[in-house]
Amino acid sequence: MNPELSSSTLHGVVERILEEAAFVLTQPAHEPGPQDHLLQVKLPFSGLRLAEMPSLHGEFQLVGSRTFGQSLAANLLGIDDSDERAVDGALDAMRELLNMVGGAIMEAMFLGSPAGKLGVPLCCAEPCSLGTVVARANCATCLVTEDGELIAVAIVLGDQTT
Amino acid sequence: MSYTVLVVDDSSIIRYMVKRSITMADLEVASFHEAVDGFEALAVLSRTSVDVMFLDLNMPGMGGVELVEKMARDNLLSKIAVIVFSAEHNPERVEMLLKLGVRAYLKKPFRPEGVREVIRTVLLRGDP
Repeated sequence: MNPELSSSTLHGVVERILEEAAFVLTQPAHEPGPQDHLLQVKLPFSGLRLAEMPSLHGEFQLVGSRTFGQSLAANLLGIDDSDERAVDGALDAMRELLNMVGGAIMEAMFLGSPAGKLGVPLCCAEPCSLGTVVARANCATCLVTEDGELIAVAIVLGDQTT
Repeated sequence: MSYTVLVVDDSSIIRYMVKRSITMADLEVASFHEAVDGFEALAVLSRTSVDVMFLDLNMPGMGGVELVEKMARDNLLSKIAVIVFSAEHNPERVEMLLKLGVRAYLKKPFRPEGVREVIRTVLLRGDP
């Protein structure tokens, strides 16, 4: 039987991927906070199968500050936060993080019926707020902090993707 | 022996990470090339003799599966050692890629040690 696709499952995956990929340790957070003008990336998926439900499609979404993206890029590259490559790589790093989180979620949920497919991570042109993303999520949400920076990961199913 | 390496990924961060991992693996590299998708990879392959290619699957433009399928139909390109890496781990897709000639599959996130192990397995064992 598939594990439940819950905020708890999502949180465990986000925490593990951040630690494995970038040596980033996070703490759980419970309030979206007032942060806005954040970077957002989205990763479409299809063929997600939960117990006794039809195949689902939707999006994984990640929102965080440019400071977080820059720090993530620096960790992935093994360079200093102030390095130009980390500054330029903030969004790229967030796309890759969401890609890895999405892949791990899909793998965790399929357990032998691998029909799902990930798309290509997309950067959103418009800045957004943590509250908006959390309010829009209709499946699972994960809020964590890393060095004071709030990060939200959400799963939005079906027609509510934007 | 020194190798000509091509890394195909739309993320410059991943391309850099692979390059760094290859360096850490002590693989002797004759030249190192990069491409952001399958189209660019084919352009590189048309003018360069590549020994080993690290290939992402999900990319805008031409993705990794389409590129592997094209390479499998070409006498010369099918001899290149292709190592696929992806965040998506679909066993059916992995099996299909291996049947098309892909030598190994690395799951993201990967560590330099993982890349080093795959390089040793794929290149140093001397498979055709």
